[in-house]
Amino acid sequence: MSAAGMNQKLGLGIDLGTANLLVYLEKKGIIFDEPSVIAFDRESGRIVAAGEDAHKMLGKVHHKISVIKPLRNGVISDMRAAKALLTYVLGKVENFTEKSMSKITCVICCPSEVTKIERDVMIDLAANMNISDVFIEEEIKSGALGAGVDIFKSKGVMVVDIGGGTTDVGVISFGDIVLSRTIRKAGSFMDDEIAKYVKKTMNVEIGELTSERAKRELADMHQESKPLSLKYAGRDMVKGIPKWVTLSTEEVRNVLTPAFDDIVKLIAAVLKDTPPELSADIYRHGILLTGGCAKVRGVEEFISNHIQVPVHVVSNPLTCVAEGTKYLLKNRGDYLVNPLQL
Amino acid sequence: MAFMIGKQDKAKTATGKNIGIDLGTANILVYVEGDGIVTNEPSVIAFDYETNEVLATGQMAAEMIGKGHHGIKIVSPLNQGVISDIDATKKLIEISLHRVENINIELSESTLLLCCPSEVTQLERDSFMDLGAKLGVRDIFIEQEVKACAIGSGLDIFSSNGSMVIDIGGGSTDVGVLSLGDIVVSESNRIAGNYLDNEIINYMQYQHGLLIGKKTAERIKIEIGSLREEIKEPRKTFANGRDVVTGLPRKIFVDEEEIRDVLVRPFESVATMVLKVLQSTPAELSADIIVNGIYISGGGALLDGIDEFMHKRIGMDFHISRRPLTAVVDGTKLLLKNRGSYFVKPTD
Repeated sequence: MSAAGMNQKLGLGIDLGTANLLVYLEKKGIIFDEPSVIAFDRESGRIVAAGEDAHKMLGKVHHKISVIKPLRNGVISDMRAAKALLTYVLGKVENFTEKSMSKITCVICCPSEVTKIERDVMIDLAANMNISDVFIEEEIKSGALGAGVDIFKSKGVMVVDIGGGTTDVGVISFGDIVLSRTIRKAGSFMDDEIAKYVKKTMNVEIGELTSERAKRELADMHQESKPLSLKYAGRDMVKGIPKWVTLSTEEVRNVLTPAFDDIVKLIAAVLKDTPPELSADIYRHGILLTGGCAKVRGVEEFISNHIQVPVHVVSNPLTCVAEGTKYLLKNRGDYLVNPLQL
Repeated sequence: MAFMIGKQDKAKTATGKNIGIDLGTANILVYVEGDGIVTNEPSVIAFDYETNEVLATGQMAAEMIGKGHHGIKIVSPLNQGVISDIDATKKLIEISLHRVENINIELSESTLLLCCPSEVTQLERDSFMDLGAKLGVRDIFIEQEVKACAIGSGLDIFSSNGSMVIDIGGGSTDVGVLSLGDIVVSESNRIAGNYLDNEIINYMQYQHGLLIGKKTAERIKIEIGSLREEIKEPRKTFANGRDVVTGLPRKIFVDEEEIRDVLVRPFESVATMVLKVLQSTPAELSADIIVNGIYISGGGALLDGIDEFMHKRIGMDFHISRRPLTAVVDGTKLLLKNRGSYFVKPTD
């Protein structure tokens, strides 16, 4: 690596998740870590808010604002909004202009099983922003690196990344992915399930923010957890007036169990296809759990109870993917070069 | 809102001032930047029939209602929340603005904010614009009363925390849910102060055979009007009028309970409207409303027991605004600063 000169490109790592957008900038660290939500003024198209501020607006806006989540199930569903969000973040946090964008090397992380078209959309996004030097890497690889695991050894590592839109399960060895699978069931799916449950059993409609809050506060997958009940407000479906509902950890666990069962099934399926030599490594070192849902209490216990393999939650489940881009930028994802030693 | 663009700088020239007007059916309130609320009077104006000269406005004119002779024409230029006599309205505003001494306002250089009820038609809105044009104001914008009312009631509508207000005025009752600086859902109906007065007049006529005037009806409403279910010590007041049969003046006494029974039915429909708004409120905002409660403002908020009545019907917390009568015009103060844009949170 030569000394930093004027012509050297600046590395930029983007973890464009369904729930959160994280941006890593070389030499600066993580410069942005907020929900991937953006709010526009309908009339002028101006950006009203992005990130945390826009997230607070979900389900609360009047007709003059439209609040958009540019990603759905891990892939870009609204190109214009995704571009606006990234440009806004880069411009606001680091004063990047269109011109300085061309001096950027960018890595964008995506879920494992996305189609070619969905991958191309990510590249288009960068091209739209005037970044020509761009490559796509899988989230689990970046996540493992960000969690401080040396994936460049002949040691099999299994990573389970339960994010907002997708759950990725992958086995990594020698610096790249041996096999990986994705299902589109993760955090947002669980929020929806909670909202559906409340709607069905209590006839009360609760908003997106409320169901997310309920998940955060009550989700506990421990088999024996302290019972806890909290009150949440929503709208009575029959009378239309606001109403309080009480949710308990027990109920939330029952609602989330099918979703986590599917995740366990996915892990089991990946394990079944893993070469035996790597299986042995995985059994010895355990499975690494990353992503926002790794924060759900007792999720490691739930998974290890079902598949009898130890599960560890990484120390930085929310930011590890973005932190991992730091290393990927150094070797451009090349498995031959171990960036940890650079 | 295209008319706003490019005129922003004009609002700040020296001679022009920012003027906010709550042009209500019952009362007109005028706020002038730097001078505060300069007028707070009934929106009534009295003309000489022949010369068309203005004889009185505001309180003085209101006292003439039902007592004028041939030579005097008494006009309430607003009807059910909207302008029905544009020339009279213009006169009324002009006089209100010039009543205060030492105010020298160049109207053509001023910014004027007019508040209108929620569900006015485009035509009715246009009449507000025409009024501005007639006054010679070039820079004029219109905002909905509920928005101004919520701000004036001290709610922070610019946060993402939803709030709900009921503004029971003279001509219209407006219900609105606000968040992020603008209205999310709103409804309006014409069941408000004047409607209640008419209900009392009808009641007196059919029940007691006594014809009373609007002013008397209003006085009865203010003095003993109540919505409480259990009235411990019923208040009484007198009503003077003309006997329907004999045609002779007569004085009777009415008590709180019978007036309550007259008022309950109109307020049932106000409660229905509140329910209707709640039904079309997004769930996330419903959650905020149940926490924050609903604010009642406008002259109707002064009615005894209205919060209790609403709580019984709808089951949430109801609060009365601090200054229910001036809430709208207080709100214009802030709206004038950001021209009603939801982007900018104005600061006092």
